[in-house]
Amino acid sequence: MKLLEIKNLHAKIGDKPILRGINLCINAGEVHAIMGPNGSGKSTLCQVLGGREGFEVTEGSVTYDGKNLLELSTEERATAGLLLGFQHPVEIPGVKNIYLLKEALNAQRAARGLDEIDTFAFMKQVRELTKTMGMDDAFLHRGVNAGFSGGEKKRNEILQMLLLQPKLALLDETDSGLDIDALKVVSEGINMLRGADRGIVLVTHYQRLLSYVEPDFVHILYKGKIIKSGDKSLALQLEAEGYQDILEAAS
Amino acid sequence: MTEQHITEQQEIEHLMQREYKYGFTTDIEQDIIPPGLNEDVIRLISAKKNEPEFLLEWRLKAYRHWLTMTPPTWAHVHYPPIDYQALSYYAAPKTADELAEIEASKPQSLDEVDPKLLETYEKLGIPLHERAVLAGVVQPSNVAVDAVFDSVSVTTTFKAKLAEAGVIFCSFSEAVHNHPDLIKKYLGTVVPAGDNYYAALNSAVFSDGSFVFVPKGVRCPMELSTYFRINAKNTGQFERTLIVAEEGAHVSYLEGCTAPQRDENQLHAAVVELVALDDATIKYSTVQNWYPGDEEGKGGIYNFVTKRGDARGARSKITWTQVEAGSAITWKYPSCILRGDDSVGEFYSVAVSNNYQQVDSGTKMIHLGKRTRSTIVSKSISAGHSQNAYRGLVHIAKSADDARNYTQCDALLIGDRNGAHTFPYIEAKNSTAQIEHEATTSKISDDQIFYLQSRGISEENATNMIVNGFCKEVFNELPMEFAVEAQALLAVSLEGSVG
Amino acid sequence: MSRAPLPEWLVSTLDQQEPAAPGEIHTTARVQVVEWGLPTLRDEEWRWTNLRALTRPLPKPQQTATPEGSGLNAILPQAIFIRFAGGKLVECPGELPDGLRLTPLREADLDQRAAAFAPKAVTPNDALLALNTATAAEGLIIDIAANADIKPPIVLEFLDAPSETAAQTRVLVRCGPHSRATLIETATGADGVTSWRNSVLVAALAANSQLTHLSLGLDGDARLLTDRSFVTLARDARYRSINIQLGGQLVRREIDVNITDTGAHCDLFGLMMPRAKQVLDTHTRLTHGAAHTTSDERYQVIADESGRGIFKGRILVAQDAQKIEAYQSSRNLLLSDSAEIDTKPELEIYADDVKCSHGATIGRLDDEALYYLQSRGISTANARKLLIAGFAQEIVDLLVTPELVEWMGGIISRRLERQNAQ
Repeated sequence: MKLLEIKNLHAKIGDKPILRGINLCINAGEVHAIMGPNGSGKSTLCQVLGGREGFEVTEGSVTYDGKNLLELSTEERATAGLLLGFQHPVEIPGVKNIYLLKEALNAQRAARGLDEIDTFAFMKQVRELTKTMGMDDAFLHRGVNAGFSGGEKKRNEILQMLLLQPKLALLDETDSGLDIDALKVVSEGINMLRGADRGIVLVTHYQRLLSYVEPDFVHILYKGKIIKSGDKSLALQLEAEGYQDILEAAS
Repeated sequence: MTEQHITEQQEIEHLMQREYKYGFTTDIEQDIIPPGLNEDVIRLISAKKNEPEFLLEWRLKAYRHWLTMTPPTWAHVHYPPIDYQALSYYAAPKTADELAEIEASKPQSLDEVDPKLLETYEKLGIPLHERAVLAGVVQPSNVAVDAVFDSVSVTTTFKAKLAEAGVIFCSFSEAVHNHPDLIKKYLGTVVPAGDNYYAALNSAVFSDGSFVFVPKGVRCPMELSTYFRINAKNTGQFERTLIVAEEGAHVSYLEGCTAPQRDENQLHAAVVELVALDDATIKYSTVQNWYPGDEEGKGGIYNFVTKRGDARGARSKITWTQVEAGSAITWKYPSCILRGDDSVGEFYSVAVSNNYQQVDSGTKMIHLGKRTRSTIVSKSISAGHSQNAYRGLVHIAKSADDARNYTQCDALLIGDRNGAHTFPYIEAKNSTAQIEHEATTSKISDDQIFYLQSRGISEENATNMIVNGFCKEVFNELPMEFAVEAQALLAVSLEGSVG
Repeated sequence: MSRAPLPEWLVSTLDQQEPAAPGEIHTTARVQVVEWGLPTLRDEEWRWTNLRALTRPLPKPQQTATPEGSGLNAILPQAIFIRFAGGKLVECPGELPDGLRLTPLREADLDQRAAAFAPKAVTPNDALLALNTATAAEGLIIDIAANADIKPPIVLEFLDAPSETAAQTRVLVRCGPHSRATLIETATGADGVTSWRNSVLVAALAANSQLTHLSLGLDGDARLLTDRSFVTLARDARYRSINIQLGGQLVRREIDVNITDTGAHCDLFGLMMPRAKQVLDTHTRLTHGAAHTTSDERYQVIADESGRGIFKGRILVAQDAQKIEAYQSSRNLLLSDSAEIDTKPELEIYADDVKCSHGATIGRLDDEALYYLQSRGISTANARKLLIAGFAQEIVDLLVTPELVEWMGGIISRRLERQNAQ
């Protein structure tokens, strides 16, 4: 079953074209890794799929779960089961983490025609997840990402993902800035989400994460285009040879 | 213009089109003194209320002083000069005629109150708990309500229960007749008749208000509550509230207001005086939602209020908490005179302004006693074309050894056509003073909104979440039932707005 | 607005000299000053500063000698010195580096004079500005050519001695595009001799120019000074004001900076150390009138004995001035129960995409720090002195050169020494 189908996607910021014809198909049950050097368009792709304003899609289409993704608002994408994990999660002082989790979960439930979750059941679920992620309950009562370390922010992203159980998780450099212990915890979290009815896209700069979360497909993004696709060996090759050789070979 | 800018503009336009939820008037025959102000009008007001001589003299003195004064010009607000001769200075509902004639019986139950009036309260969502209590439907609430319809207190509830505890809670007029000694002793001792232009005017023509007296050692058994509204055309409303907490007494007083929609500007110049003796605590909370004017800035209430607490006794404490969402112009500085040694003053404020509203509000903390402490937390949110200013004075007198003040003023901007201003006055005359003031001004960032949206939360909810988070420190200070009301009010006030 | 009528003795000085302001500007100001009179404490802008001293004619001096200068010539031998005594230009060097031109106001042409008298009052009924405009006859035009990098500091020494008319001076500084210069104003007076100067300095910074402007109030315990600067910044211009006021019976400085174009930056740094019965007051008003401009303001007051220190700083961000970063701090030490500090840091913001913050503190010396120094064998008096000097040093360190920092540090320590000895 096709979850996400990107066809010839072009996008620009102002007058500057960033994505120059991306083609990508993700089926339920698959884990894809998108790799590429800095400035290749990885983050832009995530932002465009997330519905961030300020990017102009000039050509192409994105179909998500049978719907035209580009016509949906950011929150509609989220409630339809698309989750964007941020490279730099923003700090929102004053808004408690627990409050965000509850609002977000209830928004999902509302979109599916379900009642608001029972507070007791909610708290139980959240506490289990914080434990899984090696987080202290105190995190729940702090402002969203406010004063969190880089690693804590990323764990928080995964915590949200596990709670919201998205159909498609799009994780933008979730591994960057993590020490090895945090990387393991984050990877475990991602692996917990893997399942026959879900898709996961890992956008990363390094092969390191892929040793813990084994991708089914690896794509290399360069200058706004996927120039090479393969299985997980491609990531290893990349690690061994560096981008330069592969880029040269591809061009 | 960027795409994002356009949406923001549209959203703000939507925001500006929001209508005042409580915009309706009630048809009730009113007993109005013809417009105009002179000594005869004051004598007439006093006579109608059958006041003792001392009060009439006090009014006349205030009036004569007012004639020598000019309206303040230093506030960051703009409005055409008010024609004080065009205003009416007294309006009482028909049922209250009887009230004015002191011997006549007052409505003993709600059945005797003009049903239309009760209907108005109902539409406004004012919980007149007594009805429920009388009907035996709901358990008695622990909130006593002294409802003010225009100028005359119509009904006072829970008197019996309060009387049992020795607490006096009644209309000001009633107190004048039943407790003249207390009135004589405390009236004008915190806000003198000639204190400022609007206070002097109020002192001359005040119509009614609330009086609370909590005797020595008594903890008031319930939250006291008053709802103010303005209903009659061209009537200024001049409420006068006096709260006295004797040694060791505790009282929490809640004031809330809504007003029907009007075209003409209406003046509201209230005076609130609080007196806290040794070890007494007074908590005064306000949720203010008067008609702010339409989206073009036409109409709306001029809210020129003098609120001041005198922490007269040692270890006394006065807390002002306010959520200001309404009024075309707000000119209001609930203040504390920290006279007693070790007395404490607190001010927690959320001021929301939208469309063409103008707010110039803050507090004054006057430290006179030793080891006095004050805390100021002010949060302002400006949207539309509004102007929102914090103006606060911290004054440490020479006598105030080891005084402390902490002030935090944060401004949140929504849209780019409004203003957020901070004018703190800090005066220290004692070298042991420690004063800290911090202020920030920021907007709700697009990144924050996008992050919340990407978690499935609508833009509107995202804004509300951030705004509520921004105001949390103040909401925490409100009594529970008010905190919920305040959050709802903020959500309505900022409906559709976006950072 | 409550006003005291213009005192008789001032009215009589209005027409004593041929005014330098061009015709209509002069006529208007001449009418205004009489109409407005002097501000009083009821005036919001003057609520903390009393001009009572000006209501009577100043006392006739017993001695008439010109006070000593700043002493800066010893440490800045290369600097260009210009001297005003009793409000009269008495020394103006002829030999100047390339790119610098000095024109006494008396010899200035109409255009120069029009520019010098161009700034309009920012506050209502600004009688002192009108008084200067109506009567100033003495002053200087400083022109810095485009691309000129004037290395030696330009020093304006004001030797404040009593004069028959109140000293009314007007200085115009025009910084050409891409130029760079340092201007130092010093004020000195003889102790016990009352003098009054009501001066105005106008600075116009063209695109990408840079001006460092020191204003140093030194000796003279009976000096009265009402002084103001009007500064405008064009695109990418950088202005740094360092205002250190030590002497004077009453000093009121008003600094108005208007950032008119993008990329410009302004620093406003100040230190006031009132003691005895001194009143030292600075009002700053900084307008961010364009997007992408930044400012940093830091003011410190150290008030001892019966001294009063007053700081009011307004930062105004205009409606379309987005992406502004402005920071303002007012930190104060109150060392005596007879001293007083009044501070009012204001933010007035009409744009939404801004990062503005301010902070203010008033406190005494840190007991912990005092105790620490004492525990190291330092006497209480010396420990206090060290801590006070350390607090002042935060502003002194911002002075342009090591020589200036050392010189000013020395002045401040000697001053604290004298105080200790008393």
